[in-house]
Amino acid sequence: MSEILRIKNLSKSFGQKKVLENFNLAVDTGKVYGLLGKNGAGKTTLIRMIMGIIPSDKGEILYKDEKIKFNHTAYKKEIGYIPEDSFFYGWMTIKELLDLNASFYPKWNSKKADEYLERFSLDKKMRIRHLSRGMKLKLGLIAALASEPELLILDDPTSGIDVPTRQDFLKDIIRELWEAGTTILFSTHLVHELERIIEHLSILHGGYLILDEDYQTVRNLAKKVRMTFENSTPKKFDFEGILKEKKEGNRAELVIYPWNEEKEKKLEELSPTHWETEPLTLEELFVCFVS
Amino acid sequence: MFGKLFLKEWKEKISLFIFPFIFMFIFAVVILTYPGQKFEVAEYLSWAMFLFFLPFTALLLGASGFQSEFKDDAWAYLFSKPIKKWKIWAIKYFSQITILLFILLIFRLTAFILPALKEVMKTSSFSIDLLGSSSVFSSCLLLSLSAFTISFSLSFLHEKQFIILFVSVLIGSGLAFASYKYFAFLEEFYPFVSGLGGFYIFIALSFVAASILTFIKSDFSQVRKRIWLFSKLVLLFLVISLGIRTIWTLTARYEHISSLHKYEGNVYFETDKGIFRYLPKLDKLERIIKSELISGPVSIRGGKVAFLKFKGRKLEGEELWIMNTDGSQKNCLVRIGNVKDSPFYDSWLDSLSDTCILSQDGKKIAFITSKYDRQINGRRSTLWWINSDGTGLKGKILDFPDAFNGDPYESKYELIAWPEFNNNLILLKDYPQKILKFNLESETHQFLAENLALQQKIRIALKQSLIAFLQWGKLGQVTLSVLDLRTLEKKEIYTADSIDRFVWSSNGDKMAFLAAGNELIVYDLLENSIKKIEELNYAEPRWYVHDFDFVLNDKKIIVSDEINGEFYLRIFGDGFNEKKQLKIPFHLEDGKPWLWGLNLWGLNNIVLVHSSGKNELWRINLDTEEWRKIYH
Repeated sequence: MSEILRIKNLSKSFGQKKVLENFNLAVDTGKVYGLLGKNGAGKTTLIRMIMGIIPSDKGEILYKDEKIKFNHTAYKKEIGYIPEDSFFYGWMTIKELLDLNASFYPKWNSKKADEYLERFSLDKKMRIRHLSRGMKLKLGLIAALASEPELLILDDPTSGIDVPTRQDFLKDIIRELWEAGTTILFSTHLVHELERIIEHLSILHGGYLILDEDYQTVRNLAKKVRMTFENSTPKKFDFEGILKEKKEGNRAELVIYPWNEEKEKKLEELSPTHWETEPLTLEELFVCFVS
Repeated sequence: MFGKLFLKEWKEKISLFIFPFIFMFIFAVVILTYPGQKFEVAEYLSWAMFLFFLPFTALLLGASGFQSEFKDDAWAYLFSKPIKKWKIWAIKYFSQITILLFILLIFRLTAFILPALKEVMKTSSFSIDLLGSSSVFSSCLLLSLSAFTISFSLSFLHEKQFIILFVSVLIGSGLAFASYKYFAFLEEFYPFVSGLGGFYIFIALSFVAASILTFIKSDFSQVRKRIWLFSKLVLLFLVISLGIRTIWTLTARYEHISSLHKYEGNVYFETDKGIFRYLPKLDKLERIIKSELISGPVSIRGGKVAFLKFKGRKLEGEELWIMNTDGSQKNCLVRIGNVKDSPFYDSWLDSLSDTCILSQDGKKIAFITSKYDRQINGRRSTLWWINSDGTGLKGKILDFPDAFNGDPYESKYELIAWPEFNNNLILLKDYPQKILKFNLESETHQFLAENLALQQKIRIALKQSLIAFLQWGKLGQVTLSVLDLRTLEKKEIYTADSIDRFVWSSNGDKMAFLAAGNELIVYDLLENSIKKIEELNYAEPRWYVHDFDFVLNDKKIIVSDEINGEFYLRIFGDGFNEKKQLKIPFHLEDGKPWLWGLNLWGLNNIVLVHSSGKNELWRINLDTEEWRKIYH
């Protein structure tokens, strides 16, 4: 599978604060990528650098194997971008905004824009400043999708939006795009939203990429292990990859990544009276990784 | 994309149109209702409007250049689009400039409708220091465009519009003041410093360049970094501009050809590189004196050339110099200008070539200075004469009671002739125009002719002891007369509605002149006959546009003329009957030579043609009909 986007050793600081440090990421064509990170982890900075909104201090961004410089613009014709806050010109009507947008993109699909407008019940004559946050998100989505993007980048767009709208958005639109083969890079801190849609998981923390793996693999390799001992729990679990450890009386709960046979043997050597494993939700996994 | 973004700017800024129109409404109401003194009120208000209110509107428009991007936080929207950042900047700049020009245009058009404003616009001019005097609207345009460019260049640096506005005013006025001071400083070392207006364009361009580069390169999430980058760039560009402009100013040479004189078959002229002499027999151009601070020749006679040399950092002093026609034996005769130890302190020369004259033998020189006299509250002219070796300076205040017309400012004199045979100087007095003779020994005067008709660019010609001049006749006609200075006998030669420019042949036996704008006529003194040579094609009754001179031992006349839209030198020979025409080979920038600006000097078989429009000096050999550029 070819790469649509590759990021190499990207670094960015704001004053003394390092936001990203030697960040690397590869995005394969046609997949849905989840980019997770707490607020302030550097997700928005990363995406803004990809979109050429802010310059990087160091490193490279490659789009379809071609190096992108800060002032390059051609590649943006193939990328749809939905930012965290839909910052459009408030005085414009929806029609004026879409007309302006259409002038930037050679593959602009007006029919698709109209279809989405109808689907989202948005009136073309409405002024943007009168739209709710959810409506602005829908408008941003229309603006991004009507340009027929090959890569859609969403920067935490659903934060602050009511649950039904969010569900609509995730269930319907993202799935449709994914099915149509559009590559999606979805950045969010609302982790559970991604559970059902992502194929690849990247976790950004403290300026570093601490996990970058196929989501199914992560699910298989990350295990929550519950153990019961006859007397008390061991003072120390001598395992590598313990993301979380919790002890209570003769019971212990570990989150281990990656889980494998070797670790299973080591666990049995501790002679627990009972032990069991269970998979983690994405939210649990995320919390374990970033804590 | 361009059109949409362009239109977007117009829609965003449409509300700004309201402010100038409110002012215009108030203006109209005041003018229409104010009793009496309407013109003064209209003038005051229109100055306020064009020189303050509209430039301030421009400043406001510029300062709000990126206001909507700040207000709606739409930077990311714009920058994530596939459009180069410099294009965003440029589209915004040009669309907003069209808004500004549209507002200015409406105000300019309104001036055609409102009679009071129309009158003001027609009569008023405003002087922006060192930019020269220009019309109110031109000044408004310059101020507005400069103010807009500076404030627009700063407008994306900070979201607070009033800060941009304040900083723009501060920087704009600060730089204007600094550049004024800098040019004044340069002037201390180089008196011909000019073009401060051009430097303002350099300042504006520095802001544009720094603004575009900052816009392209800077990180919009970091305000301080953005401001810092802009500051560094604008400083760099200003220093570069300053350097370029200084080098340009100090090295540029305004080599304007002027003060052309024909003397003994050679032509002398001045440029800012010095005084040159062209020797047609040798086809040689030589610089007889090299200096930037020279004006002249002011007179050439008796193998001597008189010229002025400027002294002092600000040309506050002038010296009258004399040298041989080959440039040798330079000698300073007298200091003239505003130098305190000068005998002529606080005086001035009215017109160098008209108020300074060498005697025929070159042994004496006379000149006229003028000064303001508090007693009469007007001009007081003094005639001075001095030997060429610098000795024997004498002066006489020209206060002939019988020449005084009651207006002390109108007593202006010119020196027009110094006949060789006695100590008489021939002077011309303005208002009323009279020719008078002044005897240097007895210091007495005598009026020779009055009721003169000296139209613009017409001067009295001298050859031998004869002077030709025009006098008003009946019904507004003019009469060409010739006066013999030996006998004081006056002869009327020709009368017509208009007579322009008369040229004596080199031996003084013929005189050519132009009547009624295009009739070329020759008067033969020996035969006492008048001969109409030709009715020239191009006729302009108000001004003389044709120039002419005698050539080839005075047997032919050469004259500039237009034939079927092309420009020619026409030659009349063989009793002035034979006709020949030579096409002028050079063109002005608009593609055509300008007949009016062509001056001819006949030097036997060589004709020198000076194009003042093109600032070039050409020669044509009448034998070979070969043209060649001599200077520039």
